[in-house]
Amino acid sequence: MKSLKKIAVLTALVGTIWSVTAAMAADPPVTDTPATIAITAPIEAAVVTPVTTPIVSTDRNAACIKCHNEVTTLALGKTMHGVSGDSRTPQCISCHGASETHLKDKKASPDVIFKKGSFAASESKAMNASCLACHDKDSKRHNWTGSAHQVADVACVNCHTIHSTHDQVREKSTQANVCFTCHKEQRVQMNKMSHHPVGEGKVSCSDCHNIHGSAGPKMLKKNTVNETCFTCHAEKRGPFLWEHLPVTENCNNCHNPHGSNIAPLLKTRSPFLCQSCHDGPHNTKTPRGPNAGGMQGGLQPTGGATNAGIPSENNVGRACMNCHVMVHGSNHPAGALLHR
Amino acid sequence: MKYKINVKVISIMSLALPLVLSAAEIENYVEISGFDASKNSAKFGEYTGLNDSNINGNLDIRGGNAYSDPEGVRLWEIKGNDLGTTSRSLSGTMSEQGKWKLKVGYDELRHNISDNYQTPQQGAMGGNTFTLPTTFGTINAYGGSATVASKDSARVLDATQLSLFHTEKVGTTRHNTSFGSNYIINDNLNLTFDYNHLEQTGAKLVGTGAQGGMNTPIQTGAGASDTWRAEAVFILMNPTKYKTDTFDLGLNWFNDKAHMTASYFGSIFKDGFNSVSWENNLTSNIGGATNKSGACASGTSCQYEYNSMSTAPNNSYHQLGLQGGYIFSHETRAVAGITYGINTQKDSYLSADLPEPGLGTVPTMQIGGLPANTLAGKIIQTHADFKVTNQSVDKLQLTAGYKYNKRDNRSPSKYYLYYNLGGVATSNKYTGINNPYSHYKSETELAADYRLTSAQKIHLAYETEKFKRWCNNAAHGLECVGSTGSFENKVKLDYKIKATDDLHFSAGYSYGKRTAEDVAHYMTPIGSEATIQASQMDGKDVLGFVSLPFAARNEHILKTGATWQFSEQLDFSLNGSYTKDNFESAVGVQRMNNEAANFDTSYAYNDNNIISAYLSYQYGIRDMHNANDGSTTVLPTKFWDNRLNDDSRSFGLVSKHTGLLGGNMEVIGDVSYSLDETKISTQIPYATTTPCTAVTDLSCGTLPTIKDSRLTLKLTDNYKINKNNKVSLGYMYEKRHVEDYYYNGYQYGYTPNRIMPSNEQAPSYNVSMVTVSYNYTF
Repeated sequence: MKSLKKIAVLTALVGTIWSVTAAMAADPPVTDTPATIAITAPIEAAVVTPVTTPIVSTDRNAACIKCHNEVTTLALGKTMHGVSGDSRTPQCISCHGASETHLKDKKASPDVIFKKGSFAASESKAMNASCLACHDKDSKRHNWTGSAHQVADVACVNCHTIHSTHDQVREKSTQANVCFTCHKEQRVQMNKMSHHPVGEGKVSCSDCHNIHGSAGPKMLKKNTVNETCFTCHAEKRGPFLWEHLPVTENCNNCHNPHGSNIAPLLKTRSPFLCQSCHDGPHNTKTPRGPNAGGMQGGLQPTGGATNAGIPSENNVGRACMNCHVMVHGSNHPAGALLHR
Repeated sequence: MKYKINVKVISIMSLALPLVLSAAEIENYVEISGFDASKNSAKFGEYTGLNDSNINGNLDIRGGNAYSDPEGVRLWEIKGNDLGTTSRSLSGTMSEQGKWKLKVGYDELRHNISDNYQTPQQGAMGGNTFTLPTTFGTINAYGGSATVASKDSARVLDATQLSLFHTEKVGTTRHNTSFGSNYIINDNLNLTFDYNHLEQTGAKLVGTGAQGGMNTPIQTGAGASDTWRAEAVFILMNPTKYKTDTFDLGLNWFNDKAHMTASYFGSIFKDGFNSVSWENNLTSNIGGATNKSGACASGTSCQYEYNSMSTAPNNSYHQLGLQGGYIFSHETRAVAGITYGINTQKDSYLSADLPEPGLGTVPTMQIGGLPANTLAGKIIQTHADFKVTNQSVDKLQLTAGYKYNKRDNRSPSKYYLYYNLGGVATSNKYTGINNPYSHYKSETELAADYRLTSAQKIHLAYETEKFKRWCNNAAHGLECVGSTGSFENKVKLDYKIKATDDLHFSAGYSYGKRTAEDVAHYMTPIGSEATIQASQMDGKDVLGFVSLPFAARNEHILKTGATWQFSEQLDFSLNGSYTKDNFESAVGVQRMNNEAANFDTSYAYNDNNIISAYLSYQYGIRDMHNANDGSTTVLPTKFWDNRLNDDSRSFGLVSKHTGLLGGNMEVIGDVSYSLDETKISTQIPYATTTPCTAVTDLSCGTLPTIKDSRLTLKLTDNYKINKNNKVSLGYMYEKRHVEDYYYNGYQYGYTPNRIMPSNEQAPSYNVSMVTVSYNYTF
């Protein structure tokens, strides 16, 4: 009976989904030419490039669409840039310029060319001016001018696909591939054993970086590396009773956030990582090599019969962190050495 | 309501496979998939959730009158990804464009850590108390005896003890709930608010610093002078019962000339536990009298010592910010921002009695009580930045910037007298003095970008970075850091040229020189004032040693790249970088070199077929020079060197073929391979004996290479039945081979005496997966 019930429920569910989707499909479908693109309002003004005020221009859009009627071009009508009811919605000429010469002579270039085709692409500065005419006065693009990407002549359209209903750089699952077009070292690092789930599409580059410029290092969204990391890893923020100095200054002192062969995202294996800063007390000044069985080196001294020739807990596996567990800081009143 | 008919297939393997069709063609779709993995592998499903066989779903449905009504501005979207896996997400958005926008979302992400961890400890993953079976018995080795029973080492356990080990699947799961909103008040003013609730469950594996190999009372009888007071280590499932609430509020104003944002950011972290406790049988049976008399044989009813560690304390961070910009003219603009944040932590210290071997029942291991019940920690974080850009001169952009960040730790500093690990009660009283570390960093930048010609551009920059460290009111009254600060000068030069429309080159070089202040006599960060002053030279053990972050340094960075659009069908790109850091430390890290090269190409040999490939190479070296002794002088034979090599190579090839079977079918093949190798070598070049083979703690040689190779093959076949319906068939094969000596020391029989084996295995796997999906678009 239970199985029958499950089948009945499943049938009802699938049937419902099917009915709903069929009903939706029964609506008059929009043709491939999106009639809903912003082509209804009157011309307000002629413009020059860059256009600083959005122009609603039925006739001018129609003039463009008359020739540029490819599906990928007209897909703009399904994006936020195609919502005609929004008074801020741009027209073709808002971004591509008035292009008077082009209108008269198709062999002449439009004012702003975003992609090399029949005509050479415009300089990135000209392309970006079209976008920044509307998008330069908010906190996200506040630091664009003078930023690493601006200085490197990166154009908005190098990353964004304006006419697409699904701009890949704005989708978490596909963003990294856009970034890896240039940031190939990070592409390699993200393939390493220990990594943030960027390749899996669960964390995006823009979760940490503001690629439009920021006041933080490496275009991080926050003011510092640590502030950025603590957004998700707030348990490491403290303040702790017993702080670990390099942790308070920069998580990247020990971690490589883009990926590592040593989990978790470590720059190297302990104790060598620890020995970069510690030469004592305890055993941190002791050299560590291999021993029998390929285990991390350092055998116990011969002082005790049961320990002689046996690996030391200071060396194997987590090494220092077998005991000094609280490397990010401890709040235990007996944890000065980050044991507890 | 109108819906555009379109075609899109997102395979269940979208987690791993490339998107199938041009994103521009995506509209609404619902997809149901099934996947079957040949094996259940924690690493393969680490973030993808593809551990097993399951039914999955994806959907993206959009609507609103903005799509149909020329006056309409309403848009909505429901989006779900990987709904049948542990990496699922579901979100909904609704807006009236130009007026308001609301978004709600939920997502989960499982981070598999291990599926082969073993332990005799009893207690569920995610809990904070772990007990041992009473019949396990104690592991009570001590030195000086020739008649130690086999049970006296975790290396040799009897059948009863081995049978009590069980395997646990360990991992953490993130549950994220979010709400976002945007309200446009008028043409010049809008308000944004985002809230996020992040909840983590599960556990991570950690070691434990607990007392081991000690008898009750300590240091009596045979073996008293031996070094058998080793720390005891269990690998425990440390719970991550975390909740983080994040608030982000912004009020944005702008007009033609200026913009300003006033913001509040809040982050409140709560830990469901304040400690994790476990029974420790790597020491005496509780209540034992002398030496081994405290031992308890396996198979009998035993009691064990009880240990505790703290977990992450609750904390909060509240930050107010103000940023804005002003356009002085078409050529000149300025932006600036300031933030002021308060980070507090006032969790009560652990108050439960913590019995420790040899020490009796001691509240939190303190001698004479705690100086306070809480840290009452408080950090003031301030930030300021300012940047001016000017383009008055044609083709020239000038930039001047300044940034300042300060972490001002105002937490009180006090003496904490307690019993330390690895010693005896009478000699191991430890005085810890907490150091509230503070620092600030100020950075300046002067840069010029000049376009030499329409095809050439040059960028020149000069940057400085000043760093200062200190502790406020440290109770010891001494310097708390080995370097109170540093200053770095850096120059950068970049050049780009478009040799032709299709051939571009770029090259860049930067040089940085960091000088650092070295404090000759500083209070070790976490130590006893009396001990440090009496025994340590130069604040360190080895004369001349400088910690990596404190070291003076020269840095050279060279980057170069070229892109060549050979034809409309064929393009190439090649780039590389070289970084060289030299540290001016007599002892410590000496140098770090990194080099990388990447080659990419794609060839579209007709409209329906494209092949792209990449090849990447990275290589890094870190050299460290250290010594095993030398508080006043270092004997040459005591010096040792350590080299780290990191070597990565990866290759990828994607081939996409569309237009098959009358344009209804496409096939995508994707093969990639990566190999990462880490080599660590320690040498003692001046030693007179052959220490690399000596049974001593002076050890050297080359460790087995840590190797991770991964081969992935993906094949996807998409077939369009008609305008609305599509089916996909996918096959994926992935082989990962990991060699890592890390795991050796946790295997039964190969552990140190005081490490309970966890038998964790390297995460190698060999998985084939088949997916079948049906996609309905509308």
